[in-house]
Amino acid sequence: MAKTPQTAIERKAKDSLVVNGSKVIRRARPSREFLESTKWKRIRNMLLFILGLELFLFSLNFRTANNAFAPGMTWENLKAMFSIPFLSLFDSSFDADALRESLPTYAETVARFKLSLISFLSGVIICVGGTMFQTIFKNPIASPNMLGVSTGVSFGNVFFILFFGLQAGSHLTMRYVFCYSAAAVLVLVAFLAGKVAGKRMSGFSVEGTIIAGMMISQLGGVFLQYYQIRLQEDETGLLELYQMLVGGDILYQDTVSMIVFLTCCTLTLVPMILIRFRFNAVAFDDMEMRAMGVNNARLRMVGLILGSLMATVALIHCGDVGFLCMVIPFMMRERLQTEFGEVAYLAGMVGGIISLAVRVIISMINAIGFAVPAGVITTLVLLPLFIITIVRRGSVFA
Amino acid sequence: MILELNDLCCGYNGKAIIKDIRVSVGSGDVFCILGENGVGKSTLFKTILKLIPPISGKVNIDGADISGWSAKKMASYCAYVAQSHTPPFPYSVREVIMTGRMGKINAFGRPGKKDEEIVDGLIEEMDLRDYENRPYTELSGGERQLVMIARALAQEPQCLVLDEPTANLDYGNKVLVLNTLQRLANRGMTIIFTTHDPEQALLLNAKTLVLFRGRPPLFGSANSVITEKNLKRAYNARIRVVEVLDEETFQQVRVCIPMLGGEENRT
Repeated sequence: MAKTPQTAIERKAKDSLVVNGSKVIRRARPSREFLESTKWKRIRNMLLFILGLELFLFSLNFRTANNAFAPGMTWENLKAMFSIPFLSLFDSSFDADALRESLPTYAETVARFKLSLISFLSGVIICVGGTMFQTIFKNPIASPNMLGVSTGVSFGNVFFILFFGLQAGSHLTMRYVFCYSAAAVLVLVAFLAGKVAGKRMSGFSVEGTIIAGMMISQLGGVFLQYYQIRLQEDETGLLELYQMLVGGDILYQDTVSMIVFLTCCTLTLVPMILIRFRFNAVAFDDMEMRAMGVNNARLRMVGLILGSLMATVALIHCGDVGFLCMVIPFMMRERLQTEFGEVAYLAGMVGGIISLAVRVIISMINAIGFAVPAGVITTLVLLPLFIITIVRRGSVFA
Repeated sequence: MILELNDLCCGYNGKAIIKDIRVSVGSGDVFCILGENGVGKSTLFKTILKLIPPISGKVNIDGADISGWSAKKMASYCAYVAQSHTPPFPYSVREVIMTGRMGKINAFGRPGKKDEEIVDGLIEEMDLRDYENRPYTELSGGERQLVMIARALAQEPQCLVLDEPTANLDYGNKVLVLNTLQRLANRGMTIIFTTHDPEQALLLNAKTLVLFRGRPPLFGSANSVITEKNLKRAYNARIRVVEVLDEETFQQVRVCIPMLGGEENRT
């Protein structure tokens, strides 16, 4: 087997060829040194940011194929959207309604902006949550759903519908209370099970937590299937309401929903950004890290709470987005980067872009009269990429 | 720095595994712990690193009892290099070394200019410049061990504690690691390590602690402690200790050779 070139000179020699005494470059491709350099990483991160921004602006103009806005019109609407709160605050004579009425597509742009923001941020946080879980469990295919978050959210929706019945549509704020509480309870049960299992091993048992989470998900899944079968007998439309809530067919953009969503995003993303360097410690051995003065058990707990909350927020506000949270962090770590902060940024940006792109595709499909759940489109987009990554790697595990 | 183990008794859940350890090592000393598998070398390590509490006795650093020290304070004195290390993700060499700075950086902080400079210096010192951006998982065993030592040094400790640093390494890599340890000791760092090769203690002229199963431990210079009789007791095997002449330095070097067969080895 050929030896892998070790030094820069050896690698350079491998990429070049001497023909008739003169050296020619065999392969016109970036060197490994360049691809591993900080300069390239900065360029790559910037390109990704620009791509995300471009898609976001595109979604504001072309969210539905039959109702496209000129960029100038969208720009005017956005300017008004951001300036109205300030002008209303500082200028008592300012007439905000008149400005809104003077812009015929204002309301649509605001709605599109909120929808795009929810889609993008949901993709960001679910992928960042996935990155956290993969780091905590030292497993490249771990996902926040392992601890029963999605089952918890589904339970929340079930209890919400059971409690309010057909009136559920007019008590959407309470839905958040039900869903967040149910998800928190199930994740807490999984944590406690991990803690109990860990007592025998003088610590926190990752395996125990995963097994408890899987058991909860399985048991919950059985109950949810039974509930859906029962709902099929119901002719009042509760099944459709349940499927609509769980599938994320509608992104709620009312003021309460936006406040809850943005608050939860901030509460999870800001601590994650702050501890992004320290969080690398959980990927290493606990004893080694303790000898460095780092408490891995505490970090892991913070990560589990943040990651679970991230997945819960995305599931409640954007519905089931397939296996985005597992595939994207796995692919980013596999192909591009390992350091937690970098992987989280890349996974978050790519997840946000894919989530937003999927929503744009769905709105275009809806415009021609079809309805497709977001999870289906996401899976169709990601599955081939995931398979290619695994095939190129050779196996899922290192 | 002076590390003292005073009548130390170590074990788990009140059950002693090793006892009556009396050791004193200072700056620039190499301290080697020998003993058969399961005799309590790792337990002693964990006690020295304050990862488990002693059953009785004390571990003192510079005269102070470490039992009340925080993990962070302990990390500023002693750094630990684990026996084998396989991270689940392909961190680059630079990133692995940088994790050694974690104890020095605020929980919400990022590596600053000083941290980058320290890591750069260690990369130069360990001759890892060609590998600094390469995945740690792609390195050879010896290179990995150097990265782990560099990571431990990034803590800026006064004492380096290594658990079998040459386990699973070929001769070339063993020499590479031992030379590095010798260099660090010459610089004034205290080196504590375990090994299953007694001649490493002889090569490094280490203060040596030999742990026996069911007998009190022996502590002294490598030359006085590593004898055929003590090795027989420690490993229950016939091991010859012979002197050979190093033709480059013209110095007598003692080496240990395990002997096959014989009545003693059938116990």
